[in-house]
Amino acid sequence: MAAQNASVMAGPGPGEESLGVTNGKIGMWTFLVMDAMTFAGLLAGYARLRWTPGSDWPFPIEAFGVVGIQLTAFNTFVLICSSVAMVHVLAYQMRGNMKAAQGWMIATIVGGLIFLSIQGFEWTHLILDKWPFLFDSGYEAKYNLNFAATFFILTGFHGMHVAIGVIYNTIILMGMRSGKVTEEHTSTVEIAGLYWHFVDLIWILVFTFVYLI
Amino acid sequence: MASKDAAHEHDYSTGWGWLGISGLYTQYMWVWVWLAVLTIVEVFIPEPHIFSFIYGGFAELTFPRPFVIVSLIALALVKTWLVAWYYMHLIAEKPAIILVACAPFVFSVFLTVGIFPWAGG
Repeated sequence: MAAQNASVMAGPGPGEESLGVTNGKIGMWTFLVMDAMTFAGLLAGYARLRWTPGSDWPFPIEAFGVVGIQLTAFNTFVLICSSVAMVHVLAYQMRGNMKAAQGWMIATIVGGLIFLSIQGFEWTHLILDKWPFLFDSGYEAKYNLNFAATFFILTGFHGMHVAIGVIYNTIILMGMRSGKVTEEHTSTVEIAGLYWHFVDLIWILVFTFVYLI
Repeated sequence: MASKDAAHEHDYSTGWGWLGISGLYTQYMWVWVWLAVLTIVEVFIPEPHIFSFIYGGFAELTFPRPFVIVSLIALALVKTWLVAWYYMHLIAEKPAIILVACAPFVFSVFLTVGIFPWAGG
């Protein structure tokens, strides 16, 4: 254990870090900040459209229905669980228990897949049952179409991040199983974790602004 | 690297078993519990009637709209902070990274204030 800690804590070599932080982590944080600003732009645009006087914007509960809010609240819980599972991947990896780390990574991936499945069901339900006027001119639009447009852009952009995260985590899992990602590669898993927690963090904001307020 | 190691030494060497389950550790699991509880509160504030199955007592309850908006934004910011601070390890990160992480929030405030239809247009 001491030898393992020594190798884990040996740190990056010359040229592999800047300002005392590994280049990989700085790269991921830079990307996440850029990505957060993109989401900020989308949410600010949503606010601009929604609170324009006379926008005829429905209350989300009226548009989604109680079941939609409950289902999405459950989906939020799934993503929170997936996030804490990712925390345990790094925890077990740091302690050298790669078998447990793989198990938690599978749980993380399954959580992401459940989230995407529920979101897919939700989109299908909304497009086919609740908002038929989106693709069929035979139906009259009940309210401002920007409501549906901003909903699909925000949740779709986030869903794309979840899908990419699932692929990213699957690649890390394959690396663990093949022995390429070992207990010494904590930085690799930590950076993947940063991305996955960011996806959870953004969903907290999207859920609040799009579904609840 | 040193900051990360410090965070994990704190988390894993001093963590207590959670509800007797040795594989789970207090700090991260309590953050998870808080995130779940705050999510329930978030759903309750705008739609308390969803919880009317609890003694049927919330069927008529509604909160003022300004309270709903302010409290939901506050709750979302608290949850965001919990994830960033504990799960993304900002608690043990260098000040430069914390400042970088705060940049989007400053940007969001300026952006929202700048394009919000204050004048009704």
